[in-house]
Amino acid sequence: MNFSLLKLEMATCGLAMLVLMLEVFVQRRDRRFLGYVGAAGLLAILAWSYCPSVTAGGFTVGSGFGGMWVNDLMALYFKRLFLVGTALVLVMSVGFARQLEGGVGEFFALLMFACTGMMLTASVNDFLMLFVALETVTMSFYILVAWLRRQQQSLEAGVKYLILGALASAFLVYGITFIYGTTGTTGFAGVAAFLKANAASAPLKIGLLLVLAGLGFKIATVPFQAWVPDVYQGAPTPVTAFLAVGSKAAGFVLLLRVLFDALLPLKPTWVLLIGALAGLSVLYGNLAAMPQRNVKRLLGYSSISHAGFLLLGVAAADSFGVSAVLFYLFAYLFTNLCAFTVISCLAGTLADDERENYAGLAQRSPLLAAAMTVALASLAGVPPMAGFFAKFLIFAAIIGQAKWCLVIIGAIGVVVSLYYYLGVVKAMYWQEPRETAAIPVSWPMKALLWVTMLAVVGIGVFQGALAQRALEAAKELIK
Amino acid sequence: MEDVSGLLWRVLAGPLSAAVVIWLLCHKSKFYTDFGPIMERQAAAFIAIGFLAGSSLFGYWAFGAVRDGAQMENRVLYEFLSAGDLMVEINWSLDRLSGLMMMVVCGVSLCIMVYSIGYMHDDPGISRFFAKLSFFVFSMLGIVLAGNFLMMFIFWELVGVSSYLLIGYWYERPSAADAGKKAFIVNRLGDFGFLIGILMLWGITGEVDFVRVKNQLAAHPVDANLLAVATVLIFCGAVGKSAQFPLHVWLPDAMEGPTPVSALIHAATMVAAGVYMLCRVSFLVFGSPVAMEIIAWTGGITALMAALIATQQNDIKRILAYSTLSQLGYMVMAVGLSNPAGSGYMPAMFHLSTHAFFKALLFLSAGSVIIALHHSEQDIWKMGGLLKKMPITAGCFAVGALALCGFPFMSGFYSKEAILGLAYDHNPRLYLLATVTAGLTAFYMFRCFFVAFFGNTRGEHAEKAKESSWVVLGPLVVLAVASICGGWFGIPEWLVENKAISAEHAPRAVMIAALAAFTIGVGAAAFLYARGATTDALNKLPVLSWVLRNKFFIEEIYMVLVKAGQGTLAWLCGFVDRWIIAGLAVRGLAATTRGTGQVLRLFQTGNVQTYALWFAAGATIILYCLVR
Repeated sequence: MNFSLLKLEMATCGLAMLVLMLEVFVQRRDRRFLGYVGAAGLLAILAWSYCPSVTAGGFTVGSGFGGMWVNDLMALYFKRLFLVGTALVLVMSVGFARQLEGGVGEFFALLMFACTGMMLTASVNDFLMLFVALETVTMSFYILVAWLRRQQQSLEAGVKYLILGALASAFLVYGITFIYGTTGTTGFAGVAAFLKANAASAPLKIGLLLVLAGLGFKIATVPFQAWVPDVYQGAPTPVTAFLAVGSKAAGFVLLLRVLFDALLPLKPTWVLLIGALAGLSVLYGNLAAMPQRNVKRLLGYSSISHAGFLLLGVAAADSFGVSAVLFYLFAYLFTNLCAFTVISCLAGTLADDERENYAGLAQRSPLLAAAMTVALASLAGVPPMAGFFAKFLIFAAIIGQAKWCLVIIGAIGVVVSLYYYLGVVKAMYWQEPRETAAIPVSWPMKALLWVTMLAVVGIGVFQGALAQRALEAAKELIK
Repeated sequence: MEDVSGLLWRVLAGPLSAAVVIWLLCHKSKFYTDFGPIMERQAAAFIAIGFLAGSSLFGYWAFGAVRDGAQMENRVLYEFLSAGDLMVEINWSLDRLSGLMMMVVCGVSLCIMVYSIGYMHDDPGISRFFAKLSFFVFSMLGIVLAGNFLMMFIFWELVGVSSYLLIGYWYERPSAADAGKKAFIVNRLGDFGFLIGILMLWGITGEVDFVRVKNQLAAHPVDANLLAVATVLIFCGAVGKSAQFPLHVWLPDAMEGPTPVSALIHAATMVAAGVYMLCRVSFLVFGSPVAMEIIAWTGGITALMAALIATQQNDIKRILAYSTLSQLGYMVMAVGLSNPAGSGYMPAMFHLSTHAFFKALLFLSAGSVIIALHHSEQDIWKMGGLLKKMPITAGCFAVGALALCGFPFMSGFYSKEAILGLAYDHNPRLYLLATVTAGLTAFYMFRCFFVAFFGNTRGEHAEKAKESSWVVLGPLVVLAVASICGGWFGIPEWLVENKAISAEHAPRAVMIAALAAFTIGVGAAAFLYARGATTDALNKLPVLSWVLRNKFFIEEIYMVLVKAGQGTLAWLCGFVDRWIIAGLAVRGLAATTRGTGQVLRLFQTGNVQTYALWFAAGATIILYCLVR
């Protein structure tokens, strides 16, 4: 038992509890500043993750806790992604705090608990551990999604997420029992060894597919995507952002681990399955987004289509494809946070998130309009934004595997997506506003907007370093 | 080897930071007033000049490192883009070629920036001017130092943008705004070819880096025709930027910009970028005789045609513009005629360097005249008698004109002789053409000089003309010295290290013929114009003068072609767009997609039981497909 392998997770969890305790000692009106404490703490942990004592103390060597836990470059890559994402979401939540009722300290703490869970998922090497880590994330989100108890939409979203999430968890745990029943083990390595030695029996296949269904719910791929638009629309905006960037990334790291560690012998089969799901998600997400007029809902559908693009990278099933997925997730993180920050800035001013309300935003707040444009351009994959290069890598990977059918579907998806993303841009810049009053933006939100915008453009222009790290991590996963 | 890459970053960072700093401070005009009345108007100029001086210093260090033998080809500084086989890096190429060009750009820019303080003194947008000028210098240095085709293309376009901005600097004048647009669009035509050429080359070799492309071509020879096509396409970029026939039409119009801009961009540096680029990719050009032939003839025709047109222009800046065209034609011709085994691209680069100095000098002298005439008169027939009123300016103009015409022992003499010698050895027809052009050059330059500076004053502004201030004259004198001595610094020896080749001189016959052409040209100009002519003597040859004055009607031909071509194309496009694309493709497709979207929306009932059903049904279908 080497607890030092869990240093980062324990620190994050401790930070969450610290914030929870501090809330008691802080005046009610100052409590929202606890979000900054949390964000600063997470950034400190992020800086700590670069210390040689952490990287040398386990991240280069294999596993721990009887093979349940693996620390490698990919785990570290995702842990850093979660830390950055959560810190930014915390800052966004501080700006959103006026809309949040009740204990904001608990809200922040829950975000950080979810972050702890996500960091656990990055190191999972065992189906039991997978379930525990995933539930840590999901439980926190059940509460977060329904946080605005007095708003019918939020409540409805919370109930839907709870019921469907429970259903997905049930599938997952049911699948795990099948796996344990047939192989006698829950470790990824054990399952892989079993699959190498024996042909996959039907019960084992059922088990594995049920597990994949549970993960499919997390990453919001077709046909497990139904919850996404409603929940994205109803949840408090920072939570929606966190769902989009954190929860999805957690789903993907688990998917990558399961596919490339446990199911490597079955690669020819799952490549087909993932490819089919990817194509369906790209088509469904983009086509269904077209008639959308609500911006938050639009981003929900776009999230489904991005899950599809990410799965395209998984379907390439080589180290280049996986590195594209890793890169994509980071680019997607900043892009989405940029977009949702704009939405949360507008939450107090606009009646709702209908596209009509965005008309003439450029006149009311040039900064918000510019940030939204950068984010949407990146989502659509317009150079030089981060999203462009991410899509470029994905396409390069599947073209490298000569999967032309998927290339064509992806290309159709990109073209369709331009229509609805640019529709919002058009409304912001070329339509007359209903009101002309300037929209105030507080300075932390301004800072957040600038940080995310610069990150989106910066990653797009100087992609070398990040792509390199992603490739290193991917190469460690696929030996 | 010392690390010069750090120096090069600093060389580039100087003008860029100047542009950014000025741009940031521009918004807060109060900043300037805080520094007192001098800074109030000139802060931007001091920032720009200060940063550029720093850059030039670093550039000089790098230059010194090259002189001491440092070769920094293909040092990767940063991987800009790496995906599969495609790898694009940010790297610099610093060798004798780019070192020389860098020093020319820095030197001329510095002189011109100092001069601009005087020239732009009363302009309200002076900080905007210096910001744009600094940005131009940054882009130009980027072209010079770029280590691969992609970077060169990016900076190439940046130079195009800054040129557009500077030509249209007085944007409130419609003619300036139009000239900016024209320059940009015509350049785009050439750049289109350039881009296709780069892509072709990338397709052929799989590389975009200069050195690696070179090695690749050396290791795996490819079809000569294919390579010739790629080379000619890349040459298209130079045709646009260096204003060669048939894309030369933008350069004379570009004279709408302020005179320092004309001097820096449209005479000394940017238009030379095309020639520089050809020298940079000389390994390509020299590998295909067909392309060289095309390049040589393009240059030769441009040189002659522009010289002919220049004899009948009346605007002092336009005369200089056509003379620039003609000299650029010389340089391009020299690239096309080069002897790869011998002097290589030396004659072209030699002429480029000397031309940068004496053409900048000529433009700045013209600018000094324009200042004296209160920015309101550029017609040489309304000047006259300025020799007595502004002797220093007149002297500098004369030095520039003599250098341009190849007066013995001036810089232009040596470089022109190198080109003429090359033509004499390789292509007698082009040699004849070049010699005739040299005679014409002497004629039109001295026509301009005699009409503007000799005789009696012929305009009210010219009556009141005064010599300009020292901030204007200082750079003139510096450039005049450089124009006189430019041929003595050993530029040929710098470019061609083989002493036997660089010391070679053209045959005596070439020299005598060139001198004869010079004498005839100046003599004719003196005979016709030096005695106080008030109208152009060539008016007596109405047809010739009519054709030349209208620039061979090339613009008019373009107008007709564009109108007819565009009209037909527009009708065709309209038809296709209205009936085929809009009717079938767009409306059909859009309706289908939107319809699908609407149908898919029906799945989103908002009912959680339905969602759970989809979830389970989806899982079941997958299970059925795989476990079956």
